[in-house]
Amino acid sequence: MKKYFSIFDKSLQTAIEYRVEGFIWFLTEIVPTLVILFFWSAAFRTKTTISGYNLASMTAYYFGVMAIQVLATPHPEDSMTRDIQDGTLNFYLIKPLEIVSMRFLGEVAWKVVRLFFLAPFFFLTFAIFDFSFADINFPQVGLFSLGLVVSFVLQYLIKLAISFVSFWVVDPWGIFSFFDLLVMLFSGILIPLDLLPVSIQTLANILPFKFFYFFPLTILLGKIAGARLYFSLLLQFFWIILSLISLLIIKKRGLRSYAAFGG
Amino acid sequence: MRVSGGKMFRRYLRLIFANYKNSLMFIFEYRADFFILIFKRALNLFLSLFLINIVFLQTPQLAGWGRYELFIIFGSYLVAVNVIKAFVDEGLAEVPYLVRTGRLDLYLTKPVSPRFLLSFRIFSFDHLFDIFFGLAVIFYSLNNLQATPAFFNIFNFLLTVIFSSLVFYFIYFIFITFSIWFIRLDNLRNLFGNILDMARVPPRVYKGAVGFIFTFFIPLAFISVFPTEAILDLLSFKMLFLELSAALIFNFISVRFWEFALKYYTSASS
Repeated sequence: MKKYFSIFDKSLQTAIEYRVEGFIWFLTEIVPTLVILFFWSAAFRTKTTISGYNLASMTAYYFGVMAIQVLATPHPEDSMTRDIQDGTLNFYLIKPLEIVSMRFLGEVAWKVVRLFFLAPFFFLTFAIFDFSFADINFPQVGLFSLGLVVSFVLQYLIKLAISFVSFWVVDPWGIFSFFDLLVMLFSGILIPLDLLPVSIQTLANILPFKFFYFFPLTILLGKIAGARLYFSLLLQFFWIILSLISLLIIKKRGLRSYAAFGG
Repeated sequence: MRVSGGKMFRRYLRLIFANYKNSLMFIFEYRADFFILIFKRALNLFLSLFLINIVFLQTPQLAGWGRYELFIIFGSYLVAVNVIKAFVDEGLAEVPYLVRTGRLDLYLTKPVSPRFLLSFRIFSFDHLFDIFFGLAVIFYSLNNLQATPAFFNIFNFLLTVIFSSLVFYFIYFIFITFSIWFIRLDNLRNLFGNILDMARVPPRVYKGAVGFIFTFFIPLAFISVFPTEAILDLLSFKMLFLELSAALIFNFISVRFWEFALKYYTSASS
């Protein structure tokens, strides 16, 4: 346990040391969503309700998207892919460390530093968008926070599993591009899923991507309750287990065929 | 040794030709990557149009523009932004890395302008796709608006695209110059790309301090609204002159800022 705490501590120090770089990543994460939010705000100047959303709930939705992007969207793929490609992974394999947990803690450390950027940003931008907590209550925020954690874990497991494809493929960049597109279309990051055509909603319901963004946000806005909520929680749990099992299988097989390039 | 203007011009042309030939050879080498990238871009662009359409299912106007006018704004944004990305993005994006590793020395000691060398090293052919896509969106929207632009409007459109690309190229250079002080800033390119992406909607949607910054300091309207107004015959000569003046001012600032920053460049190599 102590060694994992040391890893977390070291990653935290790195994240603090490169805070300017971290701040720019933070901006690149939130700016696209801010643009969409401004876009919707302009649409609400002539209408009070759009498909069940008013300006307050739409604003809350996209602030939630920003919170998930900044705090609950890990990016283990770049470093893991690079480590496999150039053989840096050897350095970790010979140590008594488990790479899935080790990388996980590193990602958490970067997110802790991001929180210090996000909190003041939210306070500053609440005023611009006339953000209102009218539709949000404390239990919803509590459940949403839990949803953030689950979203983080699920995204981490899936992204890392795709990164492990590098054991066989020279560059899994094409797969990640395809994955990004699926996330954009089926997660609710661009548009709330209930505003999309029914065919896309049906597809989104059988894929795991809605648990990245849309599901925690429907909890935040109080749009889901009762049996539907419990069923979705169960489904989310199923996706986590399935992703974890797949990840471990891919890792085990991948390490067998790992050529360990590098000195 | 002094080199005549004509000779210098030919030298720069030869350099551009050699660099772009290399860029083309790179694409032929990584053909599959190139086509996956184009496929991803196409889907991305359709998604953006889809989002605009979804909003217009709910409201007939947005910030004073109708659906097809907004499509033209989006198309103009694609053309202007991708001219910048095609010509200078890849080259400038590498500057922080060159500073960190000390390889910038190689560019500073060559007998040509380092700004030119750094900017026009790589031509990104994939962005030509976005430019054609943008032009197709504009053509489609003009058709739906039953508007037929005169030659004069098309000429003004091209001028606004060139001027706005120049303005934002100079702003990009100012951004990149900061890497002389902040050593690990490889993601400046992503931030600048996001700022450019803000021009895909009319700047009037931005409120408060954000609206103020992106009207006066980083004039997003140059990228999308000015070309749109030009093609729809709504742009006055005064505005065109304003855009040209802005290009000259930003050029002056970026040159001076670069020269000032170089005084602090310590070089990391041996």
